[in-house]
Amino acid sequence: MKKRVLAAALTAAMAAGSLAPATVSAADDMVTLSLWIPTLATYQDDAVAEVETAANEYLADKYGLQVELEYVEIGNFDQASNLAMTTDEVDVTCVLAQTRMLRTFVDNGQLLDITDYFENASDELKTIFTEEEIKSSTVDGRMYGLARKYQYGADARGLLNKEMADEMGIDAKSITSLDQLEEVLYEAHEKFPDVYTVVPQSSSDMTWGWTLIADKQIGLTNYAYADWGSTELKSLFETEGFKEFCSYTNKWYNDGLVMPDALSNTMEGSTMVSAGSGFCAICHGDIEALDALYPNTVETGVLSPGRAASSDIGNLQYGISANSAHPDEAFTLLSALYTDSELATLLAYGIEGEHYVINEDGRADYPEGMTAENEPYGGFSATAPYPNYLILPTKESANYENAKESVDEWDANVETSPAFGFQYDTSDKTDFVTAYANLEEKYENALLTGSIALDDVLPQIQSELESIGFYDVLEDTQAALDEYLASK
Amino acid sequence: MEAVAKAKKDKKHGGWKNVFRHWELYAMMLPGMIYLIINNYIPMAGLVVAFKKYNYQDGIWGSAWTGLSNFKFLFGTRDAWLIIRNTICYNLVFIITGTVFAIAVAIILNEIHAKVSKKVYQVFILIPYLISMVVVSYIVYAFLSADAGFINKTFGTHINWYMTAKYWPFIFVIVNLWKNFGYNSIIYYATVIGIDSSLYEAAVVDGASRWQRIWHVTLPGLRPTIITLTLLAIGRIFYSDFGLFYQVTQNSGLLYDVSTTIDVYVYKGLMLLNDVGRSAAAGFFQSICGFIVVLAANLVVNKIDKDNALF
Repeated sequence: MKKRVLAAALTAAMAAGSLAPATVSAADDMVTLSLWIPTLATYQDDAVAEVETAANEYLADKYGLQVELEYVEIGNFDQASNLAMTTDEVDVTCVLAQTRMLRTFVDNGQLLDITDYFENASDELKTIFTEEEIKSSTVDGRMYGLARKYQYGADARGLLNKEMADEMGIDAKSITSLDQLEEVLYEAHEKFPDVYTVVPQSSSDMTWGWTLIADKQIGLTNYAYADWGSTELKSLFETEGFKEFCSYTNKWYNDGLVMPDALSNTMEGSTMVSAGSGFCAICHGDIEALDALYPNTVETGVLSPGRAASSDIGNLQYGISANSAHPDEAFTLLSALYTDSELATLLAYGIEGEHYVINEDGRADYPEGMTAENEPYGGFSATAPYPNYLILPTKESANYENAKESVDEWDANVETSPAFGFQYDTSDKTDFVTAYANLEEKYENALLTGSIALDDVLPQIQSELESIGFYDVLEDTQAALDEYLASK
Repeated sequence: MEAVAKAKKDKKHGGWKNVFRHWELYAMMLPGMIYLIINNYIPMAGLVVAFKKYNYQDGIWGSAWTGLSNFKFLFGTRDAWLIIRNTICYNLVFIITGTVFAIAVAIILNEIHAKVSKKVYQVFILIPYLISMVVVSYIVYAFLSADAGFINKTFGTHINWYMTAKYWPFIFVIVNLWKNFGYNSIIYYATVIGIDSSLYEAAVVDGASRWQRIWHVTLPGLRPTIITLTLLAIGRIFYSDFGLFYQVTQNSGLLYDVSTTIDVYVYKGLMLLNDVGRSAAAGFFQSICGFIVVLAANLVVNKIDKDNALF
C-alpha cells in the first residue's frame, strides 16, 4: 500500500511538474514590443538588461511603450529571427536584405506592408530617406521596411600592419592600385617570410570590396553581374573585373603570398593584420578610416573608387513582422528608432558614463580603461547594425566632424550601379536560384583567394552554368533589364 | 460455447481490468505519454506544410496548396543524383564500418579483466561521442591545416586537404567512426556482458579456443542487438550528419561534390530562400524513404531469422 501511495504521489508530482507553466508574465498596461537587432560585437546580459531598463523608462514616459531587446549574433540572425517570425514573438526587426533579398521576405509573408503608416508618418521621418533608399524598401510599389541610414556602397583599400609598413618605410596612402600594392606585397614577403603576406578579409572571403571586381546582384538577383558601368549581364566568372582580380590573387597564391589555408580560414583578416600574423588584407572602406578601427594598422589609398551595387542601398533594413500583434505601436517604435536621437544613442552606445562618455569636444568615447575588447555593451564599438547612424554623437575615433555631412558627401560622390532600381522577379525560378547559389559558392572563394586558377576551371564552370540553364535565365533577365532601362 | 464466449469477454475486458489493477503504473506512464503525444505525434500534422506554399502570415493551415511542387526542389536539380548518392553511400559505409568496429571494441573490452583499465577505456572511447561537431571540425582542422596541420608537419607533405576532394570520403569515414564507435560499442558491450556465462564455461570444457568462443557464443549472442541497431540505422539512411559534412569541411566549395548530402543541400537552399515548405518536403521524403527501407530490411530479416525481426 505504501508503495502505491508513494507511486501516486510521485506521479502527481511528475504531472504537476510537466504541466506547470515555464514562465509567468507580469501584467502590464503598456504594450511590450520585441526589438530584434543583429550584433557584431559581444554584449553581456547584465549590460543589455541595464540598457533595456533605461530604454523602458524613457519609452514609457515618451511613447507609452515597453521594449524587449533581442540581440542575436549577425551570423545566426537570419535563422533565429525567421523562426521567431513564425509566431508573434517579433515586432520590430532588422532585415538582412543583402543575404536574402527583401522580395523573399515579402513573398514569404514575413514583413508587414508599412506603406500607409509611412505615408501618414511625420515629415521628420519621411524626409530622412532618400529616393534611392525608399526604392530599396519597396517591392511592387509597396513599402516593407526602412533602410538603415548609412553610406551606400564602399571603396576598396588595403589594410597593412603598421609596424611592418613602418619598418619597410612605406607611404601606405600612396598605394592606389593593385599593381602598386603587389610591389609592396612581394617586398613584404621577402622581408617577413614567416608572416602571411595576404590574408582574406574574413574567413575565406578574400575581400568584400566588390568595387574592385564587378557590379553584382543586378535586378536584386543572386546570379546577374556586369562590369562596372556596363549593363551587359554576365556570369560572375566571365566579368573582366573578376578575371583580373583572380589573376592577381592566383599569382600571389602560387608565389606563397596568400595564406595557404585561405579557403578554410576562420579568422578575421583585420585581426590577423593587427596582431602581426598577416601583413595585408584587402578590405572595403567607407567614411570610417580602417586604421582608426583596427589598432597597429595603416590603410592604403583607395584601390578602387566608391561604388554602390543595386543591393548595397538598403542592404540592411528595419521592418515590422507580419505576425506582430501590435503593428501600430510597432510603427511608433520603428519611427522613433530613426528620429529620436536620445533613444537611438541609448540603444546603440548604452548608458552614458558607464558604456561610453562624452568628451569635452562633444565626441563619444570609451570610458577610461575600456576598449572594444572589454566593453560590456558591444554597440559602441560596432554601431553599424543600428537603424540610424546619423543621429548618434560622433565618435572620438571618427575622421569626420559630422556623420550626416560626411555620409551625404559620400553618397553624392559614390558611383551607383546603372541598374539600380531594377527588380527581376525570380519567385518562379527558385530551383535555379538555389542551384546557381551552390555553383557559385563552389568556385567563388577558391578563385578569389587564388587557390585555383580561373583559366583551369572556366570551361567546367561554363558547362555547369549551361546545365542549370543559367544562360537562358540570364537572357531573360537581360531582356527585362533592357526594357527597364529603355522605360527610364 | 458459453465458456468460449466468457473467455472472449474476459480477454476483451482484460485490458481495462489490468488498467484498474495497476493504475499506479499507468498513471506514472501518463506524463511520458502526454509528452510523447505533444512532442512526437501532434507535430506530425505539420507535415502538411510539405504540400503548401508556406506563408508566415497565413500560417500552416491558411497557406496555399502547391501539391508536389515542393518535392521538385530535391529532384529538379542537376545535383539530385549527387546528393542522394552521397547520402546513401556514406550511410552504408558508416553502418558497416561502425557496426564492425563497435562490435570488435565491445568484444575486446569484454576480454579485459582489469576493472580500472576497463572503466578508463570505456570513458575514453565514449568522449568523442560527447564532443560537439563544431569542436570536432577544429580538431580535424588541427590535423589537416595545409600550413600548420599535424599531418603535413609530421610527414612533410604539402597537401591542401580542404581543396582536394578525393581524400574526403576517407576522412568522413574516419571522423564518423572515431566520433560514434564508442557509443555503439558500449551498447554492444552491455549485451556481451549479459550473455549467459555458462555458455562460455561449456565452450571451454568442450575445448573451444578464444576465437571459437567469440565466433560461436559471443557473436550469436549479439545478433539481436546487431539487427536492431542496424535496422534503426537503416531507418535514417536518407539523413546525414549535417555537422560532419558542413562544419568539418569548413564548407569548402571545392569539396561540394563529395560533401553535399540532402541535409546540406536543403540547408543551403533554406538559407537563401527561407522556404519552409521545401524543408518540410525534404524531411518528409527522408522519413518516408527511411520507413520503406526499414520495412524492406525487416522483411528480409523476417525471412532469414524471424525471431530477431522488429515486427
